[in-house]
Amino acid sequence: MNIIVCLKQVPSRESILRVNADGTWVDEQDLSWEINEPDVYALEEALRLKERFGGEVIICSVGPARVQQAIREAFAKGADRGIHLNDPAFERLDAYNTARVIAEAIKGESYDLILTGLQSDDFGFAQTGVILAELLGIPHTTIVMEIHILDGKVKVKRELEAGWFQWIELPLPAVLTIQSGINHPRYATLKGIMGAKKKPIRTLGRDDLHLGEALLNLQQVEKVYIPQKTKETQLLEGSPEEVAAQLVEKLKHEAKVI
Amino acid sequence: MVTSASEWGTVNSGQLNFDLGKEKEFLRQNIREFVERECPREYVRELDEKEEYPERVWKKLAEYGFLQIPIEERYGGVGGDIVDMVIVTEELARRSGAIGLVFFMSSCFGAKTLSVGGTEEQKRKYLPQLAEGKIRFAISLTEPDGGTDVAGAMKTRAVERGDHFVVNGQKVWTTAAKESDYLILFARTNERSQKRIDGISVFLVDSKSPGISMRKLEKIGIRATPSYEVFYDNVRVPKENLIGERDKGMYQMFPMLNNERILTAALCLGEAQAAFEDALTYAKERYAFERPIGQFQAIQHKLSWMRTKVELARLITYKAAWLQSLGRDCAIEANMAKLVAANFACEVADMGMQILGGYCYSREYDMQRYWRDCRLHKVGPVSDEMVLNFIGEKLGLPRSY
Repeated sequence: MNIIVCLKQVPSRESILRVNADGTWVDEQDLSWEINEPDVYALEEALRLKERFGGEVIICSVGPARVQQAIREAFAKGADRGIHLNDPAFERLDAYNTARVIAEAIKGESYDLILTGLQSDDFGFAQTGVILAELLGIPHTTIVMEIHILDGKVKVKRELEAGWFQWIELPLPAVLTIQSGINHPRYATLKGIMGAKKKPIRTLGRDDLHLGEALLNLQQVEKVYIPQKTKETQLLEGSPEEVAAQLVEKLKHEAKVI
Repeated sequence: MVTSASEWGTVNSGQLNFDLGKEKEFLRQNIREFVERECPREYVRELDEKEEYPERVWKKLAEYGFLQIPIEERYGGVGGDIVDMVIVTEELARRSGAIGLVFFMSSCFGAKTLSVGGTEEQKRKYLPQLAEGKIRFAISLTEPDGGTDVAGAMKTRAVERGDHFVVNGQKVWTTAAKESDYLILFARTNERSQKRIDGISVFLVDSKSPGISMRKLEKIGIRATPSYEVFYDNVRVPKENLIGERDKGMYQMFPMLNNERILTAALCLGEAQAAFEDALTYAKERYAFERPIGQFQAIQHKLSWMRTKVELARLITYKAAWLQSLGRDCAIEANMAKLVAANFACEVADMGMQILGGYCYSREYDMQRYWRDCRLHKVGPVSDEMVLNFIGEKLGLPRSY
């Protein structure tokens, strides 16, 4: 069973984020980076499936040179090889164009499953996996909590709202977007870390892919800003009777809800 | 530093490098995640309270391959270097000195003793099992009459009888003796040797052998790795369990000493870092006179000192480990690292106690545990005074003891 895992490298949770000069994203200088959290769970799920069914786990990641670190970290945990999509033209792509690049890059690969995290911790579009499936013309499902491989099919448990779950079956190959918490991701061992540098990464740029139309974003971030404080909390003081009277007064005249 | 003329101009900042490198940083990140998940604070407190060996963590360290680090690849390990061991020890000790010591003992005493002195057969038999966490070793060296003067005080005897040795004597401070499968025992095998350091041999003794009894010592710190008095009463040890050359046992210890000093420093680093972090959190959250106490210089300056001391101790510890990993002489640096790290850890933990005010005396806070734990390292496994003696000797001064 060959599995492609799409990993995204995002600013680490400990990073102090600053809005960049043109106000359209965070300043990436001096940030530390990590693998997007839901993608870590997707990777773990892929490694477990590989342990049961054999095959290989291929990492696919779009981004500048720093992204190689994320791919190597996945190698240290047990992934076999990587595809690194690196080109100035791939920077700040929207979900549709990111999916286009990935779809083109994995065209020659034979795979049974593509796993991605449910969404990224930075933009949080939750779109790349879904659009990728559409572009590849294969089925997909999202918010996956459990995976069972059947003969030529996959049965998955999906998380719905309000504590509800849904079981569905899809024919393979398919794209699944994985929810955080589906498993306990493993630690990389020193043996894995030492072996990671020997595993191959294929780096592809725009000229290596047959993308056809130019990569024009359909979606753009106009403005990023720190939320402005607009609410004010008032503390009412006094005996319960006095506070209740004050509260009624405020609900009547300030909030105008009674 | 001696630099030849041709090197002038080629020395640039690129050759002085404090980066650990991506691989070692990633190892640190992984062991940190391990600690967060497998060693929760409540669990560590309970171990300390009950003087209970961290069995669960040992199994997990084995399961995730951390015990393979100090062992060569051909014996089932991964052949990590001393810097890797420092990273793991430091991060484990950042949660619990006792858990750090568990890894320390396995990597330093177990793996190193066998790697240095063991026969090929012994290495093949024991090292793969150690790498998988199936067996544990404790070191049975110190005696009631002498720790620093261990050779002079050694009364435990091993007498040859046919195909085995018979051991009689008493040891003290054998840490995790009861929780280990084998005791690495130092015993006198020759009464007539001219130098006290000669005539001592090292044996691998099955800790369940008939004639061995143990008494737990009540300790004030590092309580989750209990220490014992071990009594040897006519204990039979097969001859094939002799490690290294007979009568030359003490010499086998010397190659271990730098590693022991460096890893002790790593334990101190972890404990000091923990004390600093807890104190910093407390200083931000605790209010007095309507402001966080971290705003007061009396507190802030302490925290600045604490962070500085941890950093200084870390610099010399990693420098010593780096030298050792390259096979370069690091006797002075290794001893300095243990000296500085142990003293700074005690100072940092003591400042942490002061910052916590009355709560430093509560067992519900971890600060008192760091404070109790790190005090060990000024005396064990080697005293500050002995370390100063070693450094003095390295300066070309006459031996003082």
